[in-house]
Amino acid sequence: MIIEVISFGISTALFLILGLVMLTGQRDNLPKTMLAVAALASAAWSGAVTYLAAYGSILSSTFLLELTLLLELFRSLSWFAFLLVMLRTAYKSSDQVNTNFKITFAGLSVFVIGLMLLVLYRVSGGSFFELIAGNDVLIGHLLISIGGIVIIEQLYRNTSEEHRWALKYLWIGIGGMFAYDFYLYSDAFLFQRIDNELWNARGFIHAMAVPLIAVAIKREMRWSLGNDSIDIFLSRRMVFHTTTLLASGAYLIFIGFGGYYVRDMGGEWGVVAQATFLFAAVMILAVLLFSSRTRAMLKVTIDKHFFHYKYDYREEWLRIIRTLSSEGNASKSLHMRAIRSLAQIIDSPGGLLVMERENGCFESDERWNYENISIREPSDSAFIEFLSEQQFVISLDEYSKDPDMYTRLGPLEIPDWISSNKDAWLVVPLMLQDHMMGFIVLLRSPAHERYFNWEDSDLLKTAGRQAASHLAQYDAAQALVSAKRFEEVNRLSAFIVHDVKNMVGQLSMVVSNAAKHKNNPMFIDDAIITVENSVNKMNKLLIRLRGGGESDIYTPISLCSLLEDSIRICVKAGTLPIPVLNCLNQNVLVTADKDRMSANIAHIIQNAQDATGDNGSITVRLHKQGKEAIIEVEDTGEGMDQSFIHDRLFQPFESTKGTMGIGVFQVREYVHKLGGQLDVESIVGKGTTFRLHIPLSKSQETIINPQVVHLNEHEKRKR
Amino acid sequence: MTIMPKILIVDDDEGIRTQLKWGLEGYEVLTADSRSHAIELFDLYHPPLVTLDLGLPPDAEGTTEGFATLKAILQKAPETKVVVVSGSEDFGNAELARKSGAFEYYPKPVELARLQKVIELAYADYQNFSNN
Repeated sequence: MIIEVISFGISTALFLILGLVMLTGQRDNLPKTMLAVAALASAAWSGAVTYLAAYGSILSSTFLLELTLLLELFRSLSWFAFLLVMLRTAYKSSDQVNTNFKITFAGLSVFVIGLMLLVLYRVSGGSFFELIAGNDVLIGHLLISIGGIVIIEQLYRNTSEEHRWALKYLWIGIGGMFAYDFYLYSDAFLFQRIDNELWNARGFIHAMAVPLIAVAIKREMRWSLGNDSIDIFLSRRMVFHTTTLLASGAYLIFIGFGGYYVRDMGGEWGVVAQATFLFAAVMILAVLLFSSRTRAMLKVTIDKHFFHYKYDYREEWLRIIRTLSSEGNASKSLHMRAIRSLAQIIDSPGGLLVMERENGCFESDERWNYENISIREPSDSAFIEFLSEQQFVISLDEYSKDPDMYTRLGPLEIPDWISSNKDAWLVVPLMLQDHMMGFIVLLRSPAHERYFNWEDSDLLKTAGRQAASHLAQYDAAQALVSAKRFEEVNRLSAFIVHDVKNMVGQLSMVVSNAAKHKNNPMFIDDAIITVENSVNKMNKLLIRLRGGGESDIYTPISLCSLLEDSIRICVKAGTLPIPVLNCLNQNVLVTADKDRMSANIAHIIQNAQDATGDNGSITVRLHKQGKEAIIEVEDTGEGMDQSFIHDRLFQPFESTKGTMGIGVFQVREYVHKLGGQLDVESIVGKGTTFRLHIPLSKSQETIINPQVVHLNEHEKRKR
Repeated sequence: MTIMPKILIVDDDEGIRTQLKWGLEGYEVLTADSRSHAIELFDLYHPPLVTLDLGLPPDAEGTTEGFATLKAILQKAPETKVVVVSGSEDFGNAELARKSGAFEYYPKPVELARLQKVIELAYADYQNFSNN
């Protein structure tokens, strides 16, 4: 009696202090508030038990007893609520998890409230011992304690490394309470009575949790589980559920057998057996929850045989893609990011990227925290052939321990530059389809040794493929840029060849004509003109060569007269229908090369003529809109459908006429070069409108404004 | 004095036009620098022979204008012998020119004696055609 009073009295005092301390300071922290509620509920329950133990014999009413039983359940509910709130903090990133959280919590609340009602029902109809002996309530308490342990395990595992050192005391403290309750109620369930000693110790045990919780609070004031390194995945939670539940189940079977043994062999063994079970229970739970070695073993076993997720693949994949495609830090090249994306998977501190070159050799490309070495590995070396044929991630530790594991697949020799580096750990091939475009050597993590298995290997291999396709894409983009430059040079040289041919032609003709006509002064005049023409051509060529292929002369040109010229060219060719010109503004100037501009507009008009029957009509309109000149070429021709406009109209080298020349593509390119836009509107069977928006020339803008001012001043003077 | 056959030189290069005028013997030479000018002259004189540069303004670096001229001339008078004279490096154009009805494709640079021969062949062919 006195022991129970002391035990629960201490527990009451400590929980009361904890609860009150938790109520001070900032209030807007939900986990903190929940902890306060749980601590105060524990204090209330312990207080009630203490009071009952001290004065229970002289009380006439059973009200306090009922209250105690309800308070115990309320206390369990509060701790549950606290743990679930903590769990939710870890899950807060996902809405779906929040729903699951709500469902779980609602389920547990219903369960505990149901138990409370059951207790009330029992209390109204029976005595205390009958009540306790009622198996349903006992099973309820057992389930609550198992549930508590399971949630604690989820929390412990999901706590990020940097928070673990602080929060583990919280988990041990609360977990200890649940573990002891589990032990107490499993014992009560087995022997159909509550053991007095165990009950009396319960107060002390619960009181012991308070200092542990206090340590955790002191170490981690923020009450958050961190958010960036928590790897939570719903299916993983399922695995851990099973683990703890299996362990609890195994323990119950164990204690069951023990119980039968004790019952059959007599009471003398009772205390010995119970002490053994108590120790065993603590041992099993401690081993399961806190021994990193057993946990690692257990994890590997479970990973391999029950569940295949050592990683949260969703998270890993997002991180790989993020690392590969983050343009944030321009100084870090894609090649550097490729190394990092692989290294971070297995906490490697650095690596070396080796890429295949045009000469067929594999040469060092980029390094990250890797010694500065320059290597060249011929593509027919055993090492390269092994990698590209087996597409294996080579673990150098495994290789040095058991070379047979690799060499039975094919000959393999680790190059000296890898084996001489003590830190080199893994070699990951970068496969593009079935071709190895390079490989990455990763360094070992100095902080902690990591277990490397088939799962790491698979993930690295796949990440390697991903990195390879990014690298290949990058190479393709580079190749395209140089191809474009090459094409530019090609075009320039075609132009040069064309002109030189003309010059050679005409000058050689001058020479051969001179043999016959050298005495004819008219021929001499023409010959001089021809030579002059060639000189002009050569000068033009020189300008174009110096200017990198640019021979356009930009001058302000009046669009209205330019359009007239363009139309005249088209009309002269004899094609119908004859375009009608409608210049809404006479004075529209744009800055462009006159010949090119007129060629481009003539091309659009000719296109319209080609698309329109002889009886149709073509209207060319010119007007100003804001800072733009707008040229519209509208025809009543056959029109084009959307897919043609979208897919083919603006393709270079695409023509329905079968020849490759100036196309709508080039017209648009030129308009873009002038800073303008080209729009097309078309209705099949009705006609097409090409609309060129070209910025007005600056001189015109500046001319117009002073004119307006001038006019105004002029008018003012008149007045 | 016999009437000399007419030949229309279509080329945007002034030097080529001038020198061919002096160089081609036995022909009355007409010259044009664009599709429209060529068609104008063709309609006026109906020359049996044409030399045609493919790169004409406004598409001097392409071939559309040249082929359009070829098509227009052969539409008006299919018996005309058109020698396409081009500096284009794309030999697909030679084939396309022949397919489009050109008599011959003559790659630049122009060498007078050889061009003269091609033109004579073309004229002989024309005469055969009109005699039959």
